[in-house]
Formats: sequence, structure tokens, C-alpha cells
Amino acid sequence: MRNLIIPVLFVISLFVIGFLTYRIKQLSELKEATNLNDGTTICTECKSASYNDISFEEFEKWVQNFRNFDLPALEEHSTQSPGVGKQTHSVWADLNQLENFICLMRRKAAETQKNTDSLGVRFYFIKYDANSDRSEYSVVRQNPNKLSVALIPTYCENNINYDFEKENLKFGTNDKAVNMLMTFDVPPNRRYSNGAIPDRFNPCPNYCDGAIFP
Amino acid sequence: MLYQILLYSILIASLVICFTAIPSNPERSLRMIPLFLLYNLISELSAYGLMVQKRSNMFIYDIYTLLEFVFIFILLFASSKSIRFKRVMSFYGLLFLAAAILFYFGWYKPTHYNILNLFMSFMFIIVASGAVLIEQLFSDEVIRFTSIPLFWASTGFLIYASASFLINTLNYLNIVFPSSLMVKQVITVIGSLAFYGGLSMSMLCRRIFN
Repeated sequence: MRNLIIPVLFVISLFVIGFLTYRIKQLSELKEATNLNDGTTICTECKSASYNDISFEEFEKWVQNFRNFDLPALEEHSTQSPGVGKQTHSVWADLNQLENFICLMRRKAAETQKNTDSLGVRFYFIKYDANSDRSEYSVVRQNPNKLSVALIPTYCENNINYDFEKENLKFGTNDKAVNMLMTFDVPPNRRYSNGAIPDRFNPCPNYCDGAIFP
Repeated sequence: MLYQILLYSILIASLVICFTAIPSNPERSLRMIPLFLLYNLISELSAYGLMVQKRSNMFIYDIYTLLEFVFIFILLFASSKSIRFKRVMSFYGLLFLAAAILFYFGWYKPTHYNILNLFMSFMFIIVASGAVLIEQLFSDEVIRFTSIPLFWASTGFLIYASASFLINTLNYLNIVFPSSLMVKQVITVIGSLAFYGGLSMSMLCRRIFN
């Protein structure tokens, strides 16, 4: 029996190393696939920016404006709400989900005879419920009373951007219908630790890996 | 990714060493080490798996904190000869238990994660392993480190807990500085090396040196 321990461990180690190698390869392939030399493959117009761009210095300063002047007041207010701790510093969205949202929005606009060339998105500032009946792992349950952002599609008529009407905010029929409203993921408040055992406490959103201004 | 590979490699290497050294270690308390390392590997892999699925994995670390405390407590308690030290440890163990009860029954729950037990555990490991080292160094017997498994384990625990205490305090106080992530990763690797290295050395003592 004892003689079996080393071979069994050796086989387990090989499996783990094999899995890790496979993941590295998978991740590097993903990186190569998204690293486009010229942006024409997936984008229709990206030779120049058609949006209001800002410099990095402005970005940094404006983030600090919010952190220095508005966030303390919000956090002071938040201390009266259960489960908040520090307030939201930033929100994050998966690009695939955003594209999916835009795709559904375009399809719904076409379905309801709206002009698909002048669609837009309005961002509403929201605050999650303290007591939600959503699943335990939902963003809302993980971040009670936290600030976030919700998106609603808009269409343009007579130079006014109208939110989609309530009856047009469903895509699909019956029980398969999805709401045409989207919320961003608040960076998790220690929803998961991406550290190893010695570094097991990773408070986010105050210290979020990946954010340039955590 | 290299960082994760490095950490897993240290853990797996230590696991293999400790399992192979079981037959040469008659002490029951030392035989717990490979099992604890196996539990470490399972915890890390489960936490990683949940993280990939974007599901909460903090409960794994929460359970880990409790079991780690119990493991180190038993290891040091069984090996120490000082009655005074054992009394202090028992008192601290009761405090830790009380804190855990307070947390799990909802009387103390400002966060989703049991930070109270985490920091108490680090404090305990630092103080207890320091005390064990002092006990051994000031003993009247002739000191031969190669025959004292607990010396290696205690040294490993001391460095590991100090490193963990530092990075977890930095996290808790939101202290971010240039190259913060790199510094954290380096400290984590040093902590892991000390912890797993110390446990491996304590298992190898009798096999290699005697």
C-alpha cells in the first residue's frame, strides 16, 4: 500500500501540471486571438474616435475629484446602511455582455420600427437593495446597498432621446423573455479572493486587482 | 499565471516530500502534516475553481482559517513540554473559539469574511511558534536542530504568519503603493516557501539527518 503512494502522487502531479499547461496555452491563444493588428476585423469604424475622448490626466483628476469630494459624503451616509462598508469606486462590464445587450437592443428597435441608426444608451445611477431575493451569488446579494449603474436603451425622435417604453423593454416571448435593462458588475466586495492561502483577504472594491485606480 | 504555477509547485513538491517521509516518522502529530497539506491543495484548487466560475470562494478560506488554527494548535500543543505554555495556548484557543462562535452566530458580522479569526490566528501562530522556538533555544539539553522537527515547523510558521499578517493588514487598510501587486506576490511566495518548506523539513528531519 505504501509503495503506491509515490506513483499515485506522481500521477496526480502530472495531471495538475498538464491542466496548468493547458490553461496557459488556452489563455495565450485567447490573447493572440484578441490582439488584432488592424481593427477592421471586428469593428466597422475605428480609424478615428467618434466619441468624446479625454486625456489620461483628466481621467485621473476627475476620478480623484469624485474620490475626494463626493465619495466621503456617500460613505458617511452608507455607514447607516447594513452591509455596505466602503462605497463603490468603479463598476465593471463584460464586453461580450455589452455587445449582447447592444445586439438585442438593435433587434428590438428593428422589431418595433424604431430608427436603428440613432439608438443610444442611458446610464442610471442606482443603489442595490439591502434585502433582495436574488440568488446568493448575484451581484445584488453580494453588494447590498452599493451604488451601481443600470443601462436602458434609448431611441431618437425629433432630436430627443427617449428611453424605450416599458412594454418594449422585453425581448422574446413568455417565460423566455429577457429584460432590456442591464446592470454592471460592481467589483466584488471580497466576493472572491484571487490570492493564495497566505494572501486570502483581498478587500475589493477598495483594492481591486486590475483597476488602474483601485 | 507564473505566480500561480510557482505556488502550486511549492505546495505539490512539499506534499510529495511529506507523504514519502511518513514511514520514517513515528510521531502521530507529525503524521498530520501530509494530510493537512493535501487539504491545502484541495482548498486552493476548489477556491481557484470557484473563482474561475466567478462564484464566492471566501467560505473556503474561512473554513481553512479554522482548520489551520486547529492543526497548528495540535502540532505545537502536542510537542511542547512547558505546562505554562500549554495553559496560555488553551486560553488562546478558547478565545479563538469564542470569536468563531461570535462570528458564526451573527453577533459580530461587519463583513462577509471572518477577519477577526484570521487576524487572531496569525497572532496566535506568531506568538506560539516564537514561544516554542524560545523554549527550545533556552532548553538545558544539547540543541541539535536536525533532530528537532518542531524547530523547522515553528520557523516556517513564524515567517509564514508574519508575511501573511503583513499583506493581509495592507489589504485591510487599503494601502496601495507603486508595484503593490508585485510586492504582495513576492511576500506571498516567501510566506508559502517558509510554510511548506518548514513542514517538509520537519518531516525530513529523522529521514535525512538521523
